[in-house]
Amino acid sequence: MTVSLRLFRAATALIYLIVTVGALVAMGLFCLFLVAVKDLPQVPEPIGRINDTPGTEIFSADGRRILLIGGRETVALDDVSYAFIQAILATEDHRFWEHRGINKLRTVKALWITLFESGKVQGASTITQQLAKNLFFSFERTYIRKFRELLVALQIEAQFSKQEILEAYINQIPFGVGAYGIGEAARTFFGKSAGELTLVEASLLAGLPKSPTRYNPFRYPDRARARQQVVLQRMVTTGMISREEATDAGTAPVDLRAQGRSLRVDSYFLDAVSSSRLKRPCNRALPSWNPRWI
Amino acid sequence: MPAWSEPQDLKTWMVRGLSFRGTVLFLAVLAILISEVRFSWVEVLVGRYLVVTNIHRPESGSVWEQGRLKQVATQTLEQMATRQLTAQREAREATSLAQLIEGLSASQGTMISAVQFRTLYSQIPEAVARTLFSPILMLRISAEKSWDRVYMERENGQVGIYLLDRSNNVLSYTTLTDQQLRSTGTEPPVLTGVLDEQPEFAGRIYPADRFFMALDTLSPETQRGVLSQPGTLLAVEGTPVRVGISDEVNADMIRIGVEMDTPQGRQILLAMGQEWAVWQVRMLLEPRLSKPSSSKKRWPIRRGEP
Repeated sequence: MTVSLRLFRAATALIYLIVTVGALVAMGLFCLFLVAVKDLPQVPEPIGRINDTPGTEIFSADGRRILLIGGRETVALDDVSYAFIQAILATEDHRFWEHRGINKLRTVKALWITLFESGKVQGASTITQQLAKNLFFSFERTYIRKFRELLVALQIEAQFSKQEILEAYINQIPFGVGAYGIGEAARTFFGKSAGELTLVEASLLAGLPKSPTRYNPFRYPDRARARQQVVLQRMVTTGMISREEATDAGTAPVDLRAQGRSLRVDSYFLDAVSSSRLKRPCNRALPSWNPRWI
Repeated sequence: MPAWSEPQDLKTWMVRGLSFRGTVLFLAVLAILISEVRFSWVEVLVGRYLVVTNIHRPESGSVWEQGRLKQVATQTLEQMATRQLTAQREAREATSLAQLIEGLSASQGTMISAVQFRTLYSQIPEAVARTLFSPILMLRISAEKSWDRVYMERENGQVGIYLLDRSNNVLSYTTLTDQQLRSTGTEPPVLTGVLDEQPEFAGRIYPADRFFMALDTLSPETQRGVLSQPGTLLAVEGTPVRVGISDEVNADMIRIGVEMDTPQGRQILLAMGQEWAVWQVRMLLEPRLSKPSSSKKRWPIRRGEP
């Protein structure tokens, strides 16, 4: 048997092996799909409900609502600064408009690193996958859990438009200091609406979701500015802005709003409710506490 | 069909590999892979399948759980509000303070206007009224014009009554015990048994004929001070046998127990007498009390005195 024939046979065996492994992986994925889909949660409609976090409402004994604490403000995609949309897409998922819920190449790469490079965990979640996470109770990191998130992401992509998905996403991003969603973040950090954000401000905000505490611009302005440079660089790399624009934005001063909590006139009442709840924790939907003299 | 055998040389391998069937198979697999990478049809198919089956899947997860909790909370709130409104309506329609207090549930207080409370307050016997709020205090608070409403609630087996101004500041408050509660009605409070079983009357129990004879010798004003509503005692079926005077003074009032021999057995009717008036009767019943003694404590002993 010649050497070339031996090589050819080896190559053939390799191809058979690849095909067999491929078939096994496909079958495994199919079985996993059947298992995961069994109790996959229902996706709500409209998709904005996926990050629906009702505020805490406090009622008087006769049923009147006297206080609303928290809750999320939803901003329409058209009312958000274009610079922010570009910045967040460049940072989080620059192929958002192209993929169908999963970035295959990034996923394979991340899987490879996670499986074969010990001590390293690579993430490759798309914006849709990040949104899908909200449907689940906890954020435990298991493979079956990731797979189920992936399935939900595929469904979201098939059911809703890209605009709807992006709108839901930007309204649930945690920016830190208790600000969820771009509307609240723009007001908290710059005292303006989401539609008024400039490139400088948008790039700063787009860098925060990675680690809202670590990049908190109020406490760590240098870290926040460094992260802003990363965002601007990503925008240049993905062709969203020119290098000159990035340089200008990177050197421009950031006018942060003075931090301070406004004193509510009803804060004394709020404190009474909170301390009452702390003293008597209740796992029911409603507190048994009864506002006495309201 | 001849059995498949492995080619023994490279040429045969090439011929077989590049055959029409082999090429078609290879291209088909390649087309599937490339089209998947390009058009993501597997993702689309899976996504559409999940959209179709979405309605049959469980409403589990944080979003749905929050929705359910909100629904439960809304329903519970509606029930609470309805209960509260009903309680308020019943409170407004109450014709006596006793009826109003009886309608108070353990977990829910009630608010009534100052005007309504004044009306109900004026209907209860003066002796009992004094144990709640002194009439002078009520007049003073009324004159200040800041008194707006009254909040009542059950707490620790008692009823708390809070007189509030418009800003919810407490102008005055008191608590009522069960016995006092019963006194606010028109029926006198009744205990089953004899006076000797009640420690507060120990050493101060007198035959009924002696007690009423002594009372009869006093002025009408003093008589009213001792028994503000003697008619309620007369209305009870039975005969007075003994009368006891309590050793406790509460807001210048002393409890008087009248032991009655009734068809149901011995019963004690309770009434409240004013301290100064009861003192007059007691002096007649026990003349030695009228002689002051420096070594003895003044009678009656006030609550809290050592």
